[in-house]
Amino acid sequence: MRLFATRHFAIFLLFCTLGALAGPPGNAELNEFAEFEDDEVEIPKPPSQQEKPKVEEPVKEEKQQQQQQKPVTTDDDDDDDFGVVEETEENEQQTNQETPSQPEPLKFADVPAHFRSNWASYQVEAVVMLILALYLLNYIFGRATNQNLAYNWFAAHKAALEQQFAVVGDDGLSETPSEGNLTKDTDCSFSIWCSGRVGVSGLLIQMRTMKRQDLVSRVIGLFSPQTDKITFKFDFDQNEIDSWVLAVGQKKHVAKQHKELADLSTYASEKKSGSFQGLPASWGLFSELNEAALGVLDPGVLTLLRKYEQRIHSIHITDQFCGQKLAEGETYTRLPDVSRVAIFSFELRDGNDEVHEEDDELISLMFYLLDKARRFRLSREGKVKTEKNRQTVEESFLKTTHLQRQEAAQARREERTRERKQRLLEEEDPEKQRRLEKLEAKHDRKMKPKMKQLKIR
Amino acid sequence: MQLAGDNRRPNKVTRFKTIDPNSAAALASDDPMPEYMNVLGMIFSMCGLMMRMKWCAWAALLCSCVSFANTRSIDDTKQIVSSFMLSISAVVMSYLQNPAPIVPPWASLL
Repeated sequence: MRLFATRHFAIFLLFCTLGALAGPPGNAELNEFAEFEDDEVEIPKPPSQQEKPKVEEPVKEEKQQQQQQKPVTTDDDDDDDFGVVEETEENEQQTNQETPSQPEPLKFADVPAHFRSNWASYQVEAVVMLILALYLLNYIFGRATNQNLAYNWFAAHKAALEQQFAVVGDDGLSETPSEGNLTKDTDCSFSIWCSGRVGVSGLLIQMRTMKRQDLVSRVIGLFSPQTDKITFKFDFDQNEIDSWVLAVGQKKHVAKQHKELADLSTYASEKKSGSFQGLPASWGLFSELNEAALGVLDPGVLTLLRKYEQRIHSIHITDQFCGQKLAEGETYTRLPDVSRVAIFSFELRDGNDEVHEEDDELISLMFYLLDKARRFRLSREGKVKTEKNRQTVEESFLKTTHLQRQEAAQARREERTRERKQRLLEEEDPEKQRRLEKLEAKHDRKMKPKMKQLKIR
Repeated sequence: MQLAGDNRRPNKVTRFKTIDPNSAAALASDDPMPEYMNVLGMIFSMCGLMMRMKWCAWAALLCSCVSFANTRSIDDTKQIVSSFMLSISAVVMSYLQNPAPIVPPWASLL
């Protein structure tokens, strides 16, 4: 999602708002200090007029009498200053006449105290800032914990991976393949790329730890517990495995995958635990063919699967991997590109040598299953069945998109006709125009449905 | 589980390809949390600025923090910076306008 343009618009709005707030203070709805400013405007009245009007009244009457007598004397003095005084006094008289005899007492507005003088009242702000500080501390420690978990795992199992791959930990940035790089995708997701092994073009290891760096996710995690997870995705070389789809693992994980992944939901169906002996009780099996499940999951593998019942989330081997299923109502315009992959998903544990030994055994199991899947060949009936399944899917896809493709072809035809006619209209040379007209008429004749001519005798 | 032979093949090494952040595969597997928090933070910031709702301005700051903690390393840092700038300006502006504190919900109980 690109929010940058939207944010620019938001910043523009911010400046508009600031401009509006800095503008005329007359709008009382916008300016909370409008009432104080109005009071300030009224202040220039001398307070003596309001407080002691009664006392001044007789004095002013005397002044008025004196003023009525004074013009004679001021004319004599011929001084401009006295004239100004008279004007002000006249104004005063007018205001005195307008003001009521009983003035209202001064009101003291409820001005909020400056925040420096009343820190104690900022309780909510203090709580929010405390939460922000906690969030920051949790971010620092959570991020460090996640990083340690990932780096420790890589350091402990790098040797085991180097036994299998020519390059372990390539970052894809340097000119020659580099080694020992663990790429940090987010603060809770890390990846390692390994390549150079027989049968597979590469292995992408993804470690998804809990979101320890995010306090909100931690609080959510209290209600729905989560675990750290490590996923190994092997890309098989072309024709390394036969066509079959299989997923086995803890019921909740494989059921979710069956619901979300396109290949599993299309080709695999759930096999009841009764039909396959030896799987742990909490596990589920989704397979296209029983034969494939029986061929890959031999008794030795099943023993290890039972041993690591809790640590293994899922094992998914497929020749039709194309990612997530499309949302309801969406359709592909063409068949999606598929790849042959094997995805192993385990619980990631941080800890002592015992845990590392378990991890080593799981890695060995993974490579054993990988080679077993490469060696396994379907029977003739199995091949025919899987081939038929893929053909049926392709046919149903073509059927559903037939109308769409027809509409697209019609649109393309109309577009071509429109372009031809446009060219004809724009042509200035009459000779060329005639030739184009002929061509157009010929084309129209060709497009018209042919009808048989009936001869009337 | 015994694994026999050397399986390494240095001659068929393929390089690591970083996933395009805009590709469908990346979008499908990615966590949408930073985007949601970005949008939420922007809405709160605008409420804080326009309607002078102080709690909205603080909520915007929290949303920016959550967005920052969940951001991907390939993401544009400009987005995070502008998100923080907008939320901080919302807080500053709302207190410049009216320095009165937020009335706590527990004030009526006391």
